[in-house]
Amino acid sequence: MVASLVKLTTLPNARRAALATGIRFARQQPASPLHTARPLLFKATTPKTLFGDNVPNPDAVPQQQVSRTKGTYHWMNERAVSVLSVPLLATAFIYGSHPINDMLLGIVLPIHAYMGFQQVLLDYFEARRWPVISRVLKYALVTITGLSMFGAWRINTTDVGLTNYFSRLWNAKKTQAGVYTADDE
Amino acid sequence: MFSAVTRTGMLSTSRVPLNRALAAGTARAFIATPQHRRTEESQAIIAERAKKNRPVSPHLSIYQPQMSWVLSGIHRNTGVLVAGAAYLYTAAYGLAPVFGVDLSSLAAASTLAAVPGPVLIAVKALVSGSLSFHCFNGLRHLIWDTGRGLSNKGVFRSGYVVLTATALATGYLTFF
Amino acid sequence: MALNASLRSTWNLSALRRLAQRGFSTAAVQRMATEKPPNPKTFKIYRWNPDSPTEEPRMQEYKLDLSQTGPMVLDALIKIKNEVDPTLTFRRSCREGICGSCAMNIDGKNTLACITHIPKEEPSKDMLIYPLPHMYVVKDLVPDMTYFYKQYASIKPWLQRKDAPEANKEILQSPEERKKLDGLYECILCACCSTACPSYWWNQDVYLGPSVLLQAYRWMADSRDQHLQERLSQMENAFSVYRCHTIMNCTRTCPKHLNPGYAIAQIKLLMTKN
Repeated sequence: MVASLVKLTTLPNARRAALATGIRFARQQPASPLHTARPLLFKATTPKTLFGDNVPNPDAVPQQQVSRTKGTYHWMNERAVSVLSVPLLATAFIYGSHPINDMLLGIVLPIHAYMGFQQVLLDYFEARRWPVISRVLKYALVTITGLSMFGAWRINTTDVGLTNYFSRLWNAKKTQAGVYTADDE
Repeated sequence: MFSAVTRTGMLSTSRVPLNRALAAGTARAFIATPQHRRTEESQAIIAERAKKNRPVSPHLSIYQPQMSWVLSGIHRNTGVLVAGAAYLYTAAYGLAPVFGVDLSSLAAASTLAAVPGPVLIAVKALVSGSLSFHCFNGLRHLIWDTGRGLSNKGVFRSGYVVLTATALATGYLTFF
Repeated sequence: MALNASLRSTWNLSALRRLAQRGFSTAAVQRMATEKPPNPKTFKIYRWNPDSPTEEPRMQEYKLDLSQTGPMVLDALIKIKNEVDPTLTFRRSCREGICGSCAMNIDGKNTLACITHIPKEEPSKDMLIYPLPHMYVVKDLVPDMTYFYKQYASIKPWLQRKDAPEANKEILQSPEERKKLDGLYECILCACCSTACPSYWWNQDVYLGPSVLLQAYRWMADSRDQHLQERLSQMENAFSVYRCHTIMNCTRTCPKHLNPGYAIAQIKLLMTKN
């Protein structure tokens, strides 16, 4: 009795089930000693939903709002401002002072600084984790950028201009009194 | 003595119900030796307690300084330094009339002329070094944004070019 | 008698007798033991035990004789676990650099332990082994990778089509189109690059990281995939891809010599074009 039990339970699952219920099945391939013949238990069909949207536990990764302003457009604007500041700075360093150049510098550089600081804020003080600090720093950044642009405008209009101002400070030691005349520029 | 036979035909001793459950695919997890048997519930409690106390593995303190992230860190620091200083100075200039401080170029230049030489040289080196590094590395970043130079070799080579250019520009600006 | 006759053709009896006396393995071990001079090296390994969770993580020192150890760091770890300290816990599987289980921070760089040679310079420096940086530690060198896998699933790493392929026909692809997948499909998802990225350290919950973004680009670059717009619009926010500041730690550390930084730059360019 034990021997027959052994014989029964060592057969593969499907065959045992088939024999138990008396259903006959067709062999798919010729029987070979190297593998057991298993029946094809299902038919291949094209799936009803074409490769659907089933992501395992999608709520775990926060799905953020699609915003081209904050995404691609912001990235493109950053690069545009950076690219624009290259000829402006080059002119300022190589040629020297020019009213239009100074005026553009006073607009483009504060915007570049603003965008740079904004990235720093997003990296270290992301809004979800730091709701208060991120908002405070954001307003502080806008304020100081505005003040800076105002100050640059004042230097350009009431004083000698950004480039000249900078070079006067830079070369202050060269003339002992720190006084520059027009032909030193 | 009755001994159960598993699906693979191997003989095993005593645990008849367990092996039958395994064969039928209904066995639960956490089968353990009798001495250390844990229920599924207590495993979950232990896991929860351990999770709350999990440390974060060290990062900045142990990662090898490499051209990639060290130069990137310097890029960010110099940007913050130069932009922060420029912000504060121009904002102060804008607010100067309110506080009655004279920041016109003459006054500022004469104040700076009074500062001892070595201090001025150090400040100039710092400012010109920061500004020139940030500008040259910024050009490197703009090249990367077009998709060029983004390989290990490219990063290292352009990094050395930027460092050389920065050293030259700093030397020139500080002393000439 | 028949056995003797068949043996005489390939082995002579004295050699067989010698082998029988000394055994196969001991011959090799004895040769190894007598020929190589001892080469000690200290391994300092990060340890933390969740069963005593209030204890701070610490560095534990192990001294090994490199002449008795295999060439790779994983060999050293296994030897420590077998002979010195069985409580040392780490992940490992294939031992050939293809499964990604043994990813850890070795001497400051994220790499696979099974394909990292133990440096044998004299005098030998301590080898520092940490788990992958800025990850929650389950135990010793085992980080919690659950969120990493969820991020991978969130980019839908499967072929998405708008129309079904014809029955019994493959979706055709030219050799040039197939070449675009080289350097992308070989990723083993070991997470060395993502855990080397400082942006991923600071913003792991919202930034996808170079590993996941490399795979996202793998599906964007696949000519057979028809959902490019949806894949790109998933990245349209300040965090998913735009936390990348081209730090390029990822390409530097990849143990399979792939280039996630390049792939992320290509994603950004694709986003500007679409």
